[in-house]
Amino acid sequence: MGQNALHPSGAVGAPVRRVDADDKVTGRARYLDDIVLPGMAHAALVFPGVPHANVRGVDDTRARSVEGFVATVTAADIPGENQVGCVDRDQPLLAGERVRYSGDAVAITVAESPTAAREAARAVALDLEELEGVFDAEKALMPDAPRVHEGDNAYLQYRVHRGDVDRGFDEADVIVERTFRTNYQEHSYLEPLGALAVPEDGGTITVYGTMQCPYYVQKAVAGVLGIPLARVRIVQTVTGGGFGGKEDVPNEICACAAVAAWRTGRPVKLVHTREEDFYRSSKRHPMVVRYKLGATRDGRFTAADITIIADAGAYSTLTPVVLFRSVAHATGPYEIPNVRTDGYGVYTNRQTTGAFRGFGQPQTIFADESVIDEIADTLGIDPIEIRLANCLAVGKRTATGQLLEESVGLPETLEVARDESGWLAKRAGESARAGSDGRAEPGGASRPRERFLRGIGVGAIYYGVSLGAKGLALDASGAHLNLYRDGSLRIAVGGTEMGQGLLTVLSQMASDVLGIPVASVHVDHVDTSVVPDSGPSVASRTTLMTGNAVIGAATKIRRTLAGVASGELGGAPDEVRFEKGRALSNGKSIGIEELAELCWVRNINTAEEGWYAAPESTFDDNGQGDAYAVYSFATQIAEVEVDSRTGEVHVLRMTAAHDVGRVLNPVTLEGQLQGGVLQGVGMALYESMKTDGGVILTPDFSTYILPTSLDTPEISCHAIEAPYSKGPFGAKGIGETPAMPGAVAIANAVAHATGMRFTELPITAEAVRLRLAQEETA
Amino acid sequence: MYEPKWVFPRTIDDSLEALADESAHAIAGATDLAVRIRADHGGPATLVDLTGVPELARVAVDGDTLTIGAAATHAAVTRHDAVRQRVAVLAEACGTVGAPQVRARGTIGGNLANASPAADATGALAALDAVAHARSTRGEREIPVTGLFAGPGQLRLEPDELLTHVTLELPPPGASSVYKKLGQRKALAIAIASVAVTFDPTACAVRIALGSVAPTVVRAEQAESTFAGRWSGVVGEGGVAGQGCRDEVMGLIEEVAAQAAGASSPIDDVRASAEYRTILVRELTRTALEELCLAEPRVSG
Repeated sequence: MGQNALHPSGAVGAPVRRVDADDKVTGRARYLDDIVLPGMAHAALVFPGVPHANVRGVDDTRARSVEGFVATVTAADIPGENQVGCVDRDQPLLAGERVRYSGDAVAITVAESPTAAREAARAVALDLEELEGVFDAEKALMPDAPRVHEGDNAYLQYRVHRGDVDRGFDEADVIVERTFRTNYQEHSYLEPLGALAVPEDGGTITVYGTMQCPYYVQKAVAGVLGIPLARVRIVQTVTGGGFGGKEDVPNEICACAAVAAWRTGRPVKLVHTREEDFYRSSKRHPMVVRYKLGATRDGRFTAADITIIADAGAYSTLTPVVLFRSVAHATGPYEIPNVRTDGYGVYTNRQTTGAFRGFGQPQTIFADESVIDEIADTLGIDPIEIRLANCLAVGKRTATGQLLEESVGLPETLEVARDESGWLAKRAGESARAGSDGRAEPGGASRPRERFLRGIGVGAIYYGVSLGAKGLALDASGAHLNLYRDGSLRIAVGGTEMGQGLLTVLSQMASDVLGIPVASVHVDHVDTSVVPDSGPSVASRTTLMTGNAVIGAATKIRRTLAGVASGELGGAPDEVRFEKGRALSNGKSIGIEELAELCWVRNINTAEEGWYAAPESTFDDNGQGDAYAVYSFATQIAEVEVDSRTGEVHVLRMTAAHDVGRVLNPVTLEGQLQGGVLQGVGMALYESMKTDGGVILTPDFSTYILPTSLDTPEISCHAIEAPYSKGPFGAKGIGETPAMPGAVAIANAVAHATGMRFTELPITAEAVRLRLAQEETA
Repeated sequence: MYEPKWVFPRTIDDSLEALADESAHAIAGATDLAVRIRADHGGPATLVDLTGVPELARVAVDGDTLTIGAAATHAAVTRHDAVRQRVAVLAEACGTVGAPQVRARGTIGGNLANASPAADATGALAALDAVAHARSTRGEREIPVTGLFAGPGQLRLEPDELLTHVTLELPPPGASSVYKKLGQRKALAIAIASVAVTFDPTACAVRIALGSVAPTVVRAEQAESTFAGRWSGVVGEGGVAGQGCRDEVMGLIEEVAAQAAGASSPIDDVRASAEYRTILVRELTRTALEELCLAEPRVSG
């Protein structure tokens, strides 16, 4: 980690060890599937085997003879509304009338073991009238394409229109236009989706599950059961990774378990296999991005014209919020006076698509950062120079017209990444291959080819932290803090730990506010009966929103303690300091645990609520407004070596420079960065979910190719701190940005190494080698 | 629900008796069979677990003959000194199977019996002219590894025959060998294409086996004879050091590599296209031959 990450004083900024590390390393942590309850039954889903069909009948005669069979649950057994649509109300929990993709569940079987439940599910006979399906978003736009729902397949549109695009292109000396395509990317979290629903006294139900958004789940479960929210309690279990994949889909899993539990009166567990997870979980949207950018001779961007087609899959799920983000950020982190961005969400009979780290942006970043490199090459300007000349900074305006007033560390991320990677020398290494006009020819494709070709490439990004203008109703967060009489603190929050380190940074924040050791703080996973609806744990919002709620509540408790301390020690309450377990005032001090005991003795409340609501944001019909309260920024630089014999791309080194506002914990931050960088490597070179109609050809980790530790490059991480005045200790979100610039940085490095620009991801060894073969023959 | 009967023989004879039952199937590391059972929601009614038969796990050298028991794991083969020193191609091939966990369980016999054209150890054994030994209660017979397969997943053995071991003649001092594999990533990868190549400068011979580019592992026989016919003429008395000679060797290698590509008959599948595989056979063969033929002579032993 870069040295500016270090903060020697207090818990905030210190490399505090993860509070959940011991439990996870020793195997003590209890994940959903580790929980076993008396009388528990197991559920499995009945899949249709086809992607598009009318359901004429469900016959469970054969399933009933499976040993251990308990029940079959169909759409008719759902007591409430058969509906789990996350944003649009277009998604039945059970496809009782119509199947729209191969991951739709038609029914649920319940049995005494998971194996028996699956055997019963396979034995359920479905009477299906197969319908023609559509498996390509561009084809789904054709007038004669099969319709997935009642209305048009292109059911959703957003735009950002600013300035005069035609005039902007008239002013340009160079224009580059390309079409880019990206595929599904699977989250590949370690722990598959799972839920355990328990019917309880008084007509209530508790659902345990692995999830990012317990309050979404609460609403979904109450809806399908037709009972009030007050009778539904959701408890998040230790969650083995999410990356966006546990934002919306746990609604379906938990609702299925809940309906089965309600029907049978027993606790019911439903845990996906990896293959089921591939079929049923939402993924990164495949997108087609047409990108046209103009620039003047001196490298100033004049206009951008962008069309985005996002494959939503069979149901809308989170596509509205994902596409909003794609469209709002499509120009990349640059000031461009004239912009026309149009984004379309399109239904197909394919797997649904939703949130995945980067949230609709890595696809458009692949486009904008590739085109910028082509423009830089054409003009003979260094790619980092052209970015520095156009990039956002304090006082500049985004594509939505938002004036940036603070916390814009983008230029510094570009400079730090450039300097730390040795960019100038490595990029100039290529000038040995320069043509006679002195202009660097990327890759020197005209020379006899060396076997190993080296290249270096860059990607820069920005990310609106939290939900922005399309998620205002959700954008608040709560916390409940209870300081016990012995000075220990228990924290309940509405934001979820999914592996990103939330429990640790919240402990650090509370520790700093109250002057107590991190070891005295315990933070629980979310229980919706304890903390009010705090929105989802997505969009890099949790540290910011939940952190501010914790600080708010901790500050109230500190005020109470300060009053008692000043009474004991003398001095004004406002001037009491809290450090190292003691309150200091008037030259004297008292232990926090003594203060807590005094409060208890005197019947003074030391439990407090915290609540933080996001600042106002706006987005009008033309996509103009202050779309997000604040942005995170990042630059990553990739160094690659291409084996021209096999086409393999070896990533040698990634340099990541991220503006995080303020480093809360350098070790967990570095973990976030490394993991995200590797997901970028996966997206760039390996990960490709192949499908044939409704069939997934790569539904497991032997065919869906993730990078392994042997494919992992050296990763050099650097934190830039441009503090955000409303952030907890100045911090902004860091969840999403690590996975965003890496893929295109690698694509740009491959272009530098080989002279070949790829417009589709992943850039497999095969893709590289076949392009080289084409060039050899040409 | 699948609940097989498990049998744990201690001797080869007991194993053969158990396997004489039609419903029985041999199992050792289970790295392929268990995956198939899970996918099929069922499998053989009786599993004969060979991991308790010491004789089947043996790796031993007797004179110039290497014997590898069918239940010897990839890890054990990779670790074995004689294998590392004298048949590097086999050590390398076994060392690229899956990941350490798979190599610790998966066996040579399983690698052969699964009859996958992508099987790493099988390619190396084919290049080494290894011979498979099969036994049943009816007797024992020998089959060259290259003749063991009828197609993907199709083994030329009777249901009651047990593959007990393979044998091969260790190459003479001065010989060398190498395994070149390209998967979709650097570990836990099934080959898109692989080549196993052995080189004996004294005999002017190379042997080239190709993986994942035909219904079975195949030998590139025409490429091998082109090499045998031309090598001594190209190299002459002075070895490969001289520049003129080096260029001629490179030319021969190119030609042999192209002929090796011609010996393949790949298909498109989820891992790669046939077109790419054909290119890979040429490139991997070229790289392997360059490493073996242009290297300073290695001291073996």
